[in-house]
Amino acid sequence: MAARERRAPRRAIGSALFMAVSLITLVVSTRSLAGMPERVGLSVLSFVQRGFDSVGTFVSDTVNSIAELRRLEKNYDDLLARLETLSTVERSYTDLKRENERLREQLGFKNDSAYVAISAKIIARDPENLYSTFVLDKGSTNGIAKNQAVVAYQDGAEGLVGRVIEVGRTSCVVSPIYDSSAYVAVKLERSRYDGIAVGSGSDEAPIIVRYVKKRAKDEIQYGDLVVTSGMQSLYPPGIGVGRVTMMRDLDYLTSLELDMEPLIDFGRIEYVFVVQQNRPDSAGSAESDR
Amino acid sequence: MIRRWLASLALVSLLIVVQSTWLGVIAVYSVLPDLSLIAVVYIAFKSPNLQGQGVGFVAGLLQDGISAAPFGLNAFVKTAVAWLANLLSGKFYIDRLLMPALFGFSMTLAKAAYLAVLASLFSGKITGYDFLGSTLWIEAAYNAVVAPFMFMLLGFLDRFIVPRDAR
Repeated sequence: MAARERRAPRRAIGSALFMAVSLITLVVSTRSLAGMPERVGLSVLSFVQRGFDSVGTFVSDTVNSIAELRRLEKNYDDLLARLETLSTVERSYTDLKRENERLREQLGFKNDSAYVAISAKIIARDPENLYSTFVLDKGSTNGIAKNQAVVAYQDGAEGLVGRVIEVGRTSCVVSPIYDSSAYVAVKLERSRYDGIAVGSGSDEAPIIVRYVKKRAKDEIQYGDLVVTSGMQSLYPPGIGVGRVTMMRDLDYLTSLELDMEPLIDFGRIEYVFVVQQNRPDSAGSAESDR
Repeated sequence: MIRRWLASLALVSLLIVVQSTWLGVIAVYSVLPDLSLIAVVYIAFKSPNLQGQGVGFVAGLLQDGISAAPFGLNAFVKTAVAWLANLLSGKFYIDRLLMPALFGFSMTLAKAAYLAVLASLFSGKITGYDFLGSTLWIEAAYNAVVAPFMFMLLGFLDRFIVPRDAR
């Protein structure tokens, strides 16, 4: 006990030293002068995270596969029955496909994808509850750079996920659009009014769209699609962001405030696409095609 | 001594990785328990020297590397929480349930208090907990529930992470 008391001042000085170094690091990093140590930390830990993710995926896949086998057996029987029905539909489908191709050619439709993208898997999420970032398994060696837009496909629709905020050699950190530090220039697809989407910090709370002109009040409807406007260089124009769920017209504000539900269900995304660059032929025409 | 420090650091780093990968499946309203913080508190409480603070500092820096938090934030918070736990070292008898739960709960609140101070000092750069929001209280309750299990499991590793005279 006496020895413990004797060592108390040394412990206090040591603790203060550690805290001082942390604070200095914090001061430097909040002024964005320190990028290197974070990148090193990201590279080291993401390597281990990748291993953990693989083991986790293997275990859950194995468990799921038992139930999956039973389901597959049932599905197989169902599919046999459906195959019989579909074989009669096939002939009419071929005719429709030919007709569709002809019509598309006449309308001058271009390739749907307006940009080049790299697919990546989410291997980890932010260990802190206050932050909502996640780590992807692709980094600078795969051509990922800071501030690139990230999109995902869910239920056949493309939706904006966020942007790359930190890049390591083989991994990168993505800040989602619902993060409280995320701002996205958006446009209401139907009425064409502009706004700024601001994250609320949680994937369960709606994203707020601010600075929408008050005169848009009569034209905005529940369920209206909100897309990126392309008014800032980070996000290509025309990517779906969410759907309007509520509109507020507050007397003390000079603009409308909309609640928006993201198109992407962040609770179940596994794979995303990091947007590299616009296709040269589609950069200016993505909006006009719609 | 170095071996003990390295073993503690490896353990806490491992818990950070587990927190960021596997723990998502047991999230309550998207809130995860802070296993690494509980481990740092355990080490700081059990070790009479600077081990808890040192491990908290280095593990915090590693955590900052994979988090959106500004570099140095988790290092400070973990060191400061470890310092608090270290101040209480030897002053309490740790039972199996109540004290670990109390530690888990109170150290989460201490973390939130440190973050609130830092958020006011570095306004706009650091996110603090909303004391009226659900996230903090769910995390505190979750840590209180998990802490007794963590303390029990860490007890099995005492010979690797705690000095002999403190066991």
